[in-house]
Amino acid sequence: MLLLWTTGASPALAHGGGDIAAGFAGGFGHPLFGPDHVAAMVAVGLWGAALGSPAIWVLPIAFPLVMAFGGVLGIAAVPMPRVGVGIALSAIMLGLMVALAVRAPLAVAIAVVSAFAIFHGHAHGAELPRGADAVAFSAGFVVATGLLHVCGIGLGLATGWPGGRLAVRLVGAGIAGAGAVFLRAALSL
Amino acid sequence: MVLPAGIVGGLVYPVSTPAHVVALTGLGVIAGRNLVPAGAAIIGAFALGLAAGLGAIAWGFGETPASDVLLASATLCGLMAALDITAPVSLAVPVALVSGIALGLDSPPESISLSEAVAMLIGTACGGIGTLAMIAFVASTIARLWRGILLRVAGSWIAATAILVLALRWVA
Repeated sequence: MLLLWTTGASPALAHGGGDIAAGFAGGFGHPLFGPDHVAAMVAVGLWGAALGSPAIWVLPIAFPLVMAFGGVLGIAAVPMPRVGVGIALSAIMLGLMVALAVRAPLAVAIAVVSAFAIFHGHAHGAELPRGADAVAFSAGFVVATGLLHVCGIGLGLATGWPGGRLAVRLVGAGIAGAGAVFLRAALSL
Repeated sequence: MVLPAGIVGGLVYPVSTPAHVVALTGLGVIAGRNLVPAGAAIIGAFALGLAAGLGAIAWGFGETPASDVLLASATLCGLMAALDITAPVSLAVPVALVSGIALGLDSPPESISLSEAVAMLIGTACGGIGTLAMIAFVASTIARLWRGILLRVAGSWIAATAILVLALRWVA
C-alpha cells in the first residue's frame, strides 16, 4: 500500500495536494543518513532476534510507539539534555547486549529499548518538517526505522547457523564500538 | 504526471492523500482482523459515513478539522492492532462511520465544472470504499500468517506516524 502510494503519488492533483513522494523519500532517508540511528536500530532487531520469540517482534512493535512519544516531546520542544549522547549510548548499550548475549527478561528488554527510543524520537521530532507533507515524511521515517529493525532481525537469524552466534556477537561488538565513536563526537559538541 | 480530474481523479484521490492512506490502512487492518461479520459492518459504516461526508461537501460545507479526525482514527486503530486488541463492534463501527464522514469532508473537489465535481465525488466514494475493502481483504489474509505479527507491526507504524503528525499540528 505504501509502495503504491509513493510510486503513484503525483505532485499535481485535481484535488490539490503536495509533493508526497518527495516527502516520503525525505522521511525515509532521514534515519538512514544518521549512522548512530542506523547502528541502534539494527541493534534493536539483532537483540530481539538473539532473545527469540516474543522479543523478536515485541521490540520492533514497542520501539516506534515509544519513539513517537519521544517525537511529541521533540515537537513540543520539551528540553531533553544531551540527546546526541543518549543516542550514542543506545548504540553502545544495545550493541553490548548483543555482544555479551545478555538474556534479559522481556519486560527489561522493552524498558531498555523504550528508554532509548525516547532519545531517537526526540531527535526526529525536533527535525520534522512543518510542511503539508508531514504525514508522508513521518510515514517515511517510521517505515525506514522499522525496516532497519527488520535488517537487524535478518542478521540476527544467523544465530541458527554454525558460527552464526559468534558472528552476531561480533556485529554487536562492532555496533558498541561505533557507539563509542558516536559518544566521543557527541561529547565534543 | 498530472492525474486526470473527474471520476478517475476521484478514484485515486484516497490513495494519493497521505492522511487518507494512513487512516484507511488503520481501519482496513481493524476490519481485516475480524472480517466476518464485524469487518463487513465496519466497511458498511465507513461507506455510509463517506456518502454523508461527500454529500455535505456537495452542499458547500466549509472547512473542518477532518484531516485531524482521520489521524486520530488512525492512531486508535493502529494502537488496537499493535496491542493485539480485538476492536468491539460497538467501538469499531462508530469509528468507521466518523472516519468515513471525515474522509468525505476532507475531499473537496477543486473543479469549476459542476458535472466534473460530481463525477469526482462519486469517484472518491468508490475509491475510498474500494481501497478500504482491498486493505481489509489483504489484512484478513495476512492475519493468518505468523500469528498476525505483521498486522501488529503495521499497526505500530500507523499509530506512530499519526501521533507524530497530530503532535505537529496541535503542539508545534
